[in-house]
Amino acid sequence: MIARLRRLVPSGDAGGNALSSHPGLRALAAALLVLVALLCAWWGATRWYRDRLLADRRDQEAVSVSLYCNALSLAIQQQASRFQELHAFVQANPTDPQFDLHFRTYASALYAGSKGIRSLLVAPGDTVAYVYPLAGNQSIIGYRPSDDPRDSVRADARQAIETGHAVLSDPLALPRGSVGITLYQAVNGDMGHWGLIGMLLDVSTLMDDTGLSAQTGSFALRDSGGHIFYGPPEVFARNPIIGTVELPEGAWQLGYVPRDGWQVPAAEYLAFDLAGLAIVLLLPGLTYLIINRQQQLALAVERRTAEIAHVSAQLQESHLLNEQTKRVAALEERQRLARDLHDSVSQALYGIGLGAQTARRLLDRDPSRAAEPMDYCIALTKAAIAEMRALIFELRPDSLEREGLAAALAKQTEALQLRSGLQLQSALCAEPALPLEVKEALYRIAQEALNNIAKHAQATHVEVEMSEQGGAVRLRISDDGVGFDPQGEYPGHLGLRSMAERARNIGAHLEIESSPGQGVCLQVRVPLAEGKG
Amino acid sequence: MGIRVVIVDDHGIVRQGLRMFLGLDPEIEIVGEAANGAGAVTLVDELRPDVVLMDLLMPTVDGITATRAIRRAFPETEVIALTSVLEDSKVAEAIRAGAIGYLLKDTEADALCAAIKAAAAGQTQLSPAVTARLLREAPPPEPSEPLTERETEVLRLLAAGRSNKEIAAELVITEKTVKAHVSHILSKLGVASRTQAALHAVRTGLTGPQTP
Repeated sequence: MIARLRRLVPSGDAGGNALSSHPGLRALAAALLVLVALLCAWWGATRWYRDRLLADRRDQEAVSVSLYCNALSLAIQQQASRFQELHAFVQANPTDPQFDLHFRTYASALYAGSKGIRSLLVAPGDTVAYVYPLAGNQSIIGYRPSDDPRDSVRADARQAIETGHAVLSDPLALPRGSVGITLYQAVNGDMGHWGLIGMLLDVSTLMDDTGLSAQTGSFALRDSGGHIFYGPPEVFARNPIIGTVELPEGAWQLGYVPRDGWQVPAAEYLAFDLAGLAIVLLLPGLTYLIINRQQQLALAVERRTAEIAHVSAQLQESHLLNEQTKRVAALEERQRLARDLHDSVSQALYGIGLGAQTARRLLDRDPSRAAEPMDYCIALTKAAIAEMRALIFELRPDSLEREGLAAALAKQTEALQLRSGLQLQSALCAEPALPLEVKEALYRIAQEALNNIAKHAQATHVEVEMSEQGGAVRLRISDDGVGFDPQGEYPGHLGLRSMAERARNIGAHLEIESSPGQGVCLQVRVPLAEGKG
Repeated sequence: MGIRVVIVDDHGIVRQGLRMFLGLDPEIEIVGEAANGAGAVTLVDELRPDVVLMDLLMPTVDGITATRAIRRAFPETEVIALTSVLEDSKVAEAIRAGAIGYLLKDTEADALCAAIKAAAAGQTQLSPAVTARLLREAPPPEPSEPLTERETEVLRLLAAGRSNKEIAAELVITEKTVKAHVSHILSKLGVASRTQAALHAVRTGLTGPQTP
């Protein structure tokens, strides 16, 4: 059992050491793994979030752009309908002698009502004769669109004359850096084709009317031929939102790019990024803490298990040690008995043999002298019997309990007296009320003391006294022998030590008084109350 | 004049019994008694007895220590170890200390007187059991110088259990000369007693083990 436990303990220790030398290693690894995975996810999430924000913004802008396109389209159509009014006015009054005056009146009203109109012109016989406003436009007088050097303008004029519909020209650069578009329509008189009317519209002004402003971003327009005629041409290269401006004939495209390009302001995604990052950093921390805690718990359990195993092994060991101590004590007890037998009975029997031999020989030679060895034999026989009684008393475990301490002490003193020839005086009180273990200890102390006297003291008188006074039992053994120095080193000191130990074990007070040449007086006092406890 | 004997035993009753019994033999004279080893050495110094009967197990100074001291200081005095069964293991030690022989405390009373007389005559008497035990022990050191032819002859007879007187008769020399030879032999072999000299002879094949 112990061997098995011992094996368990070191293996437990080894495991513990491997873990304890890197307590959070496993936890740290797990935390790093989580961190890497989360960082990837976080990076992906921020990309996705920015794309979504951008898409949202584009969607919002696209709505605005389509609104602008509609507004522009409406503005142009509005101008086109005004142009229809002008057409109706001219158609009604081609031969009016005061046409010039009436035209000016009409045109000024038309002109004042709309900001987008740059100029109005009437060309009887396809040559511009009237223009409003005249100021700054005198050079147009006499201009013939059907003779314009630009192919597109000539084509427009021809188309207007042939179809009779209003024709919108391609955008053209105007003086002072503006872009204009021109509407042409043919006017028919009584004798067929009379001439042309035209209306020059300023695209910039029309754009202004839509509320589209360069403040929010850059925008540009291109015609159906892909020709960018308005705004910075690079807009169409910058991933713009494209809106369609419906025109009476064909359509334009409006490109729009925000002023700062397609970027999401950091403020919009910073919170998201930071919150994500916080989670990303927090989770590995939590993972580390949880796993580390688990590891620590497992380690603690392992350590505690090892400790318990160790303590258990120690208990087993101390149990074995206890058993061993008991065996040694039993062995010592047997040796002591053997020594006692050798010292007493065996010597007595040898003496009896010698005495009997002596008597036997004297019977032949001088029977009168045989009495002395016979008396010697008888005395030795008595002594041997007393010794045997004392020894048998000791050999029976319940002797002390059955016969009592007083009787045991009486037997001891009698045996010693007969064996050693010492003069022993004993005064023993009635059996004291003490627990058996206390009696046993007192008996052993007395036995050791008497043995010491017999072996070392060279005494002639010995007194043994047991008395009960003041709630205590006192045992006193004194002799008139050679004594000893209680502080010195003696072979018998082992005996003294064991006496002192026995006294301590029962809570008794042991006192040994002696000096060389003064004999020895030993006293043990044991309180009755404590004894009963 | 009889053989002068000192009795050493810590048990008064044993000394008393021995004194009574040995007192019957006219050749033996009990000249003193001691209760322990220290008293024994003092007494031997004072009385110079022929033989000491030495109990081995005694308080304070034991019999073996006393035997060694006596044999060293007073080589003319022979020591017989007196033991009980309990002390049996001490016998070999006693012989090494210089005891010429040993007696068990259960020995026949006649054997006791015979042993004292043999010891007084310088005769070695050992039981085969004790001889075997002594022979098993570590061999003694080599002699410091080789024995002479005459000394070897004396050792052979000594080991065969002869007394000084018998050796003197056999070799036609005086007993005093024999004693001188024995003294040289002990000195050369570096041993304390005739017994150990005899054991040396057995060990070196000079003679076979004797029977007591």
